[in-house]
Amino acid sequence: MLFNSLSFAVFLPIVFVLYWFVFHKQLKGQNILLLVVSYFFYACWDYRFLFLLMFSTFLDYSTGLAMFDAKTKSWKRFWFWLSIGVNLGFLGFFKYYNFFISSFADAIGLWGIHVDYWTLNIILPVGISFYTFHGLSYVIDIYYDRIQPERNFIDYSVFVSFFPLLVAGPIERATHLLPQIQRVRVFDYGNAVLGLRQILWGLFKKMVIADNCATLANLMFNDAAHQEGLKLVMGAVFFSLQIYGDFSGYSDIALGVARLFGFDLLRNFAFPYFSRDIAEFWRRWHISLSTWFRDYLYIPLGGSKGGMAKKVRNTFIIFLVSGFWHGANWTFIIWGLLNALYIMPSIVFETNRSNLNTVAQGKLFPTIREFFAVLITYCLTVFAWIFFRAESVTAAWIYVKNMVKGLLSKAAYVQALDFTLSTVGWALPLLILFFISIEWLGREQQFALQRLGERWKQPVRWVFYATLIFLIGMFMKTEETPFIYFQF
Amino acid sequence: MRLFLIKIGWFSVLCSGVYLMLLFAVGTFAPQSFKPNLKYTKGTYGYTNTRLQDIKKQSNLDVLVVGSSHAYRGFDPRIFKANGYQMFNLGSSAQTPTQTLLLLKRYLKNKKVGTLLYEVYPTTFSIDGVESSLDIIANDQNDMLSFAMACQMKHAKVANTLVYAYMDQLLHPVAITEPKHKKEDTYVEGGYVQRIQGTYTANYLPKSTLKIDPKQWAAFQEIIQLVKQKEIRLLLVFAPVTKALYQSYTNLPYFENKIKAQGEYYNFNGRVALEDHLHFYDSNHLNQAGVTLFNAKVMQQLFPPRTIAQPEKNKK
Repeated sequence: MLFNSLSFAVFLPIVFVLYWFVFHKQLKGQNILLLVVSYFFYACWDYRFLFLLMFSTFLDYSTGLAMFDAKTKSWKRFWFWLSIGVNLGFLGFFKYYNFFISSFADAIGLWGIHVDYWTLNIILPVGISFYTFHGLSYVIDIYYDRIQPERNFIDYSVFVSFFPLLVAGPIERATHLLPQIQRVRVFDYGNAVLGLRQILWGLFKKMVIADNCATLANLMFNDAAHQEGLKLVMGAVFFSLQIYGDFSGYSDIALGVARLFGFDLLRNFAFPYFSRDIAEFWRRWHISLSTWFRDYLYIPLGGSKGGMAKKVRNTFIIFLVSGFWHGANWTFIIWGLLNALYIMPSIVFETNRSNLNTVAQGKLFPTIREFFAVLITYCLTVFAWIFFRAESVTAAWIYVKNMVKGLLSKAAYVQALDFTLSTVGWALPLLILFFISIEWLGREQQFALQRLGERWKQPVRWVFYATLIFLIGMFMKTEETPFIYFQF
Repeated sequence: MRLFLIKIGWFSVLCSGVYLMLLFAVGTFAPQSFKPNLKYTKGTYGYTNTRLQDIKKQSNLDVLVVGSSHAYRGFDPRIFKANGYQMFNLGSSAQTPTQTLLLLKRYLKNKKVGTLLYEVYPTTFSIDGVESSLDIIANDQNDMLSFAMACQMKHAKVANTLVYAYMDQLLHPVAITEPKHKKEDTYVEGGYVQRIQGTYTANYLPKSTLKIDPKQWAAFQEIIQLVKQKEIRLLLVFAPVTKALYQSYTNLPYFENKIKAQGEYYNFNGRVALEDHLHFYDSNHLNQAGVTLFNAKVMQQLFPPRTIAQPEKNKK
C-alpha cells in the first residue's frame, strides 16, 4: 500500500476514525490498533516478510530486557552481540549476499583464480534497512545505559512498526518515540491541520514534481550512451529534483500522517538544496540517517577527537557506510566517497559548522555570495547523484563522459532546451518554478506549507490548497509509482 | 475534533467547486501539454462520434459487431447486407471488454439483436482500456454507466475526462457532425470505416506475451452472461492481422483456450488467403481488398446467404 494510492486514501480515514472515536479513551486500545493496522499495512506488500519484522521486533525486545537484567557484564555483552549479529545478519543476507559473493569472485578473479559461485534470487523485504536501524539504536542505547528497556511488548512493537515510518523512515530513536507511545494522546486541532498540510505538500512533491521529473531522468539514464552534453546535464538535474521530491515528499507524508495520530516524528529534510556547503547539505538531507550514523558510528569511532587524521578517516568511513547502506552496488559506495571528498575541505579547514542557520534568514532574497554558494553546492550534489542513479559504475562513467562531451557547443544549449521542452512540455518547468518558490518561501519552517498563507483569509488559503489538489489530479502519473527509498 | 471534522466537510465542498472550475477552465482553454490527465476529443479518427449517433437510429439488427478497431475496420455492413443481414458495427479504438460491456448495457436495452459478433483481439484483454474509455466518454452521451466504468477503472485521466464531459455535455448538448472522409478513411453507414488505399511494409515487431487482466476477464464474463440472458447468439471471432503480428505473440494457445471455453470461437488468421503486403495497410488493419476477402469467408462460414434483407422496423 503506497501513500500515493487510492487504497491508502481509504485506509487512513478508517484508521483515523477508529483511533479517535472507537479507542479514544484507551491508550492500550489505541496502541494495539496502531500495531494491527501497521502490520496490515506492511502485509499489503508481502505478508511473508511480516514474520521477519515480527521476529526482528521480538529479538530486540527480548535482548533489550536480557541485557538490562543480565547479572554479569559478559552476559550483557553476549545478548548485545547476539542482537547486533542477528540484525546485521538478516540485513546482510537479504541486501548484500549477492553483492559480496560476486565482488569476492571478481576480486580473486584479478589474480587469475576463477571460482564458480551462485547468486540467490533474493527479494529485499521492504523497509528492512529502516526497521533494522530502529532496533539497532534501541539495543545500542540499552547497552550503553542511555535508556531502560521497554517492558510492554505492544508499545515496543509500535515503536518499530508504526506504519507511517515503517517502510522508509524517518529512522526513529527510542528516546524520542517511545515516550510518545506510552503517553495519553489528546487530539490537537492545530497539529492535525498541520499534518494535513504536510501530507498535501508531500503528495504534491511526490506526485507532481518527482514522478514527472522521472520521465526525463529515466530517458537520459537509460540511454546515456546515445546522448551527450546538456541533455545529460538536464537528466541529472531532473533526477536531483525527482529524488528530492520523492523522498522528502514521502517524509512529509509520513510526518503529516503521524501528526494526525498525535505523534511528532523526527524531521528528515530541511530544504537541503538551499545549502551553502556540503556539510550543511548533510545536516539537511535524510537527517534521521545522518544523525544515526553520527551517533552510532562516527562518535563511537572517535568522532572529531584524536587529531585530524582520525577525523578524516572517520568522515570517510561514515560516508562509505552511508553509501553502502543505500544498496549493494559500487555506485552507492562511489556516491558516498564523492560526498566524503566534497566535505573534506571543510573538515580539514574546520569550516563545516560555519553555516548553521538558514540561508538568507529573515530576507526574501539571498546575497550574490549566498546564491553562488547554494548553486555550487547544488551542482556538486547533482554530479554525485549521477553515481547514485546509474545502474553500474560503467554506466555512470559513460554518463559523465558523454555529459562532458559537447557541453561547450552553442548548438547543444538550444538542442537541450528543445529536447527538454518537447519531452516534458512547458507545464513541468513552470511547476518546478512554482515548487522551488514555495520551498524557498517556507525554508525557515519545518515544511514549506507550515506557515505559508497564515495571514491570508481562510477562503483564499483553502483555494490555494484546492489548487494544489487540482494540480495533483491533473499532473499525477496514472500508473502507481513506488517511492525510490522503498528499495533501500 | 468536531471543529476539525466540520472544517474538513466545508473544505471538501469548496475543494470540489474549485476543482470543477479549474477543470473546466483548463479543459477548455489550455493546450494539451498543460492537461496530461484530461483528454477530451470529440470526433476522433475512428468515427466513434458518428457511429454512436448512428446506433441510436437502429432498432432491430441481425448482427451487432463489437470489438476494437479490427472490428470497425474489418466487418463491412454492405457485404453483410448483400447477403441478407442487417449488421451494425459498434467497435471502437482499442475497445476492451470493459467498454464493450458498457456499450452493450447501453445499447442492447431497446434493440433486438440476433447475433453478437465479438471480435476478440488478444491485446484488448491485457490492457487497461483507458484509450477506449476516453474515446467513448468524449463521443457519447454519458450516464451512470460511464460513472460506474470510471469508478471501476480508478484512473485519474478517465475520472477528469468524465467530469469534464458531464460539464461540457451540459453546456453543449448538440452532437457534432464529422466529415465523411478523413484523410484515407471513409465512414460507411453501419459503423464501418473503410480504407481503400494502403499497403503494409513489414518491419520488426517485438515478441509479446499475453497476460490477461483479471478486470477485463471479469467484464468479458459479464458480457457472456448478458448475451445469454438476452438469448443472443454469440460468436467470438479473432479477425485477421498480419502474419508478422500474429507470430509475435508467444502464448496465443493460452489465450485461445481460455476464449474457446466461453463459446463459439473462430480464428480467421490463416483461414483467408491474405498477404501482409497486399491486404493490410499496417500491421493490424485490413485494407478494403483484405476486408472483402475476409468478409466473404465470414459469410461463407458463419452466415449463409438469405433473402430477408432487412428487419421490419428498418423497412421503408
